[in-house]
Amino acid sequence: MLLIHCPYCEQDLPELEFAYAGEAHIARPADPSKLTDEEWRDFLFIRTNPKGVHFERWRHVNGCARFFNAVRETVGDKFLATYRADEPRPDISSLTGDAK
Amino acid sequence: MTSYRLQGRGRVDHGKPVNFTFDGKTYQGLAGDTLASALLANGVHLMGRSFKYHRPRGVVSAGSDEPNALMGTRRGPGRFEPNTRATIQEIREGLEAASQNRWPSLAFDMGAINDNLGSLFSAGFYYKTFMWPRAFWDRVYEPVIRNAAGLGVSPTEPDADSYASRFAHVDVLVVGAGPAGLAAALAAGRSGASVMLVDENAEVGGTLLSEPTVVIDGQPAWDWLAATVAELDGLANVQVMPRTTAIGYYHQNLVGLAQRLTDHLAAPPEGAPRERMWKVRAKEVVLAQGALEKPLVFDGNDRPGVMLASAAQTYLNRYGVKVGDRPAIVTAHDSAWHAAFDLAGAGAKPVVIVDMRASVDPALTDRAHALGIEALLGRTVTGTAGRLRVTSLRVNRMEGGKAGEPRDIGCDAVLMCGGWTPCLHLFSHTQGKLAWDEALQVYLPGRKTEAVQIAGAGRGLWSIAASLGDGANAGAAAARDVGLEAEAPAFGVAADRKPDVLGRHVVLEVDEGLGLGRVAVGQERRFTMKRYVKYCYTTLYSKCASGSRPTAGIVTASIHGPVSGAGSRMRHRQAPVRRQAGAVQSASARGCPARSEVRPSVGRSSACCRPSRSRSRCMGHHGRRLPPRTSFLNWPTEYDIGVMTSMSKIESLRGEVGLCQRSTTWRSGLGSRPRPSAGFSTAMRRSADPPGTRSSARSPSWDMSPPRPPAPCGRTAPAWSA
Repeated sequence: MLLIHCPYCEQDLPELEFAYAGEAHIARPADPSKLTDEEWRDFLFIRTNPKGVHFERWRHVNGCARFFNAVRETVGDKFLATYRADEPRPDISSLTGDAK
Repeated sequence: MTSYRLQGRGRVDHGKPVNFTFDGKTYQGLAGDTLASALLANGVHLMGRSFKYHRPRGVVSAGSDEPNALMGTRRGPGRFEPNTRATIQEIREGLEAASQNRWPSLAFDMGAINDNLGSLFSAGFYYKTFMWPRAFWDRVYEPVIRNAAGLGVSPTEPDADSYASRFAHVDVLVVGAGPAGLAAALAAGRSGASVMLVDENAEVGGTLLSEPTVVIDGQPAWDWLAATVAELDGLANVQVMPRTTAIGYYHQNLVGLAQRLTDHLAAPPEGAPRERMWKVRAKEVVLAQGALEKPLVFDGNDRPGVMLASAAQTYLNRYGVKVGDRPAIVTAHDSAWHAAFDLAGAGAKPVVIVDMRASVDPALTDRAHALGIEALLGRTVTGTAGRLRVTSLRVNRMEGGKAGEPRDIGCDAVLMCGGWTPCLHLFSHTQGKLAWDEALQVYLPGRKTEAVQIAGAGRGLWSIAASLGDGANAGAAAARDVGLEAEAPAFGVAADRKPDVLGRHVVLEVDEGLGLGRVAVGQERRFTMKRYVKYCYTTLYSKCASGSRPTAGIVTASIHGPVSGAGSRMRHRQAPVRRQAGAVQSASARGCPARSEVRPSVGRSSACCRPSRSRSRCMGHHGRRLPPRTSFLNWPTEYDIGVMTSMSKIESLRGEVGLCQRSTTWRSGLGSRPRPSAGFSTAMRRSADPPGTRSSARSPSWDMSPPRPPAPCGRTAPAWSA
């Protein structure tokens, strides 16, 4: 079982308390009515799903119930960092450099 | 007591006889015996029948890696367990054990007819033969086959036992309490770290239990062991847990432990749980699991009486049991010579030591001559004879890489040793990679993914001195990593008989239901990748010993050509563990395992993934991508080389050693009764061609294009999104 650090509760807590909530940092288009069908489709459905470092949203659903962002390495299933939803995306190279 | 029990020897209590029954007959053992050692002390070697061909089987090992001596044990209603390993089960007053997979009796088994008709039952026979007429399947074929299949019988009554579970958080978890594990626990324990030391055996000590002559810090091994255990017991921050098997190594140093609590007690306390499942979160893990001895490969190496040399040494030194009066030793490694010397010192008369190496340390041959043991160097063994017990051994001189004139030597036990291989199964759970070591000819731990140290024989350090030192360093390093001041204690070791470096040996082992013919047939049917061959087509790795015998590397090496560790792993589980350990007590437990307990849940993914690191490419409920599983579903790599390489490699190895035969459902592709197999003979023919002609001689049946990848199933973004 993974231990996930909740940036609001500031504790490492069991994975069971959390829910995955899709890819992070996908900005809603400023004016959806101006989008073509293809652009709207891309916004709604197309995700990167990388093999490697992935930015994703998690929700501490059985705790503070708030959304936060995480950087997870999908090959080894390791959390490299978690940060509040309003914080900018951290630099990957600094994270992977730290990660053994 | 019988002539096989040596008075005053071993760690058993000679003053405490214990009565138990095997197949209805009462035997007497001693307190401290396992079922296997007590039966051997009574001269019983025949302990089971093989899975498919019902060949007579005897005990092979002295530990949890036992593939043959599987029995049903019983303690009243609802307390029957099939496939108990006789080498692990301690005897207790009134223990009822029964052999399996035989009818009407162990010595005379009707099912053994399969062995004589074996040439008809090729690999995959079942799937292709019983297809017609269609209506026969449900009514005739299936019930008959089902009745004949399997080993033990599933219990039908609800489980009367209860099972407990517990969480623990420690600084350092040490797995394995041999020399390296004890030293690691000492180093970490003295620093003040909270330490848990677990060992699957009834007693801690590992190799030291079988090597009483070693001197550590001026004390005989067993005195040093007693003092060390006393010191560890005296440290409040150290918990020593024997009879506890580490069953899984999960994310972030979460280790599952199954602790056996009452199976060894004649009268368990009322309401006591039978087992306890521990889920331990450790800051640092030290894996000191030691090494397993590799068996050798020759026709008839599954006869009762044929066993590992280290097992014979353990039975002798730890249990005071002589496995035979006239043992023959077949080896490619120095350690078996010492087993022969120990047996000679205990009153047995070893008839011969056959060493496949052309030259060995003269001190060994001199000692053998002094003890009157014939030493044959540069010989190979091609077969054994005997029905329910081995009676003779066929030794061949090596002539230009081929087996020459045979010579039969009478014996009542064959002790084999093909070298040692590190036990890295738990390490493989962590996605740790193995690296092939050319000098030692073994897989060693490579890249690590967790806060883990591997110590002792697991790193290819075979000697007790090196293991102690390495364990101490690992324990101290682990304690430092959790922020404590730690020093590695130094140990002075004398009379250490285990060599530091292995002699080079050439061994091909094909194990667990895999004869070479089966590989060939499987590959003929286009199961070309090693993974398909291993898991789909043959029954390789299908039983309790699954992955525990040191076959992983060897079979893999033999099947996939160039020996390389890259991408290789050991099979997940080392020792079979009851699935219900730690279950929320449920009537469904035995035979119908509850899922939750052996897999400390990986959250929602556990529902659809294998335990541990969720290796399947499983998306979980929310499209969360889990780590890929590196076996079975991946595409061929450069290491998955097909039939050609494997067969030519097998051929080249065959010239130097005999061919394998030790498994539950074994049929040798070679040896005295060759098994007809078009694939194999084609491969043989082909590998006899001059190298240059091979590729041009490739027939279409070998020249297989890799299987087509499956539809993407939404795993990757479709191409049009790019």
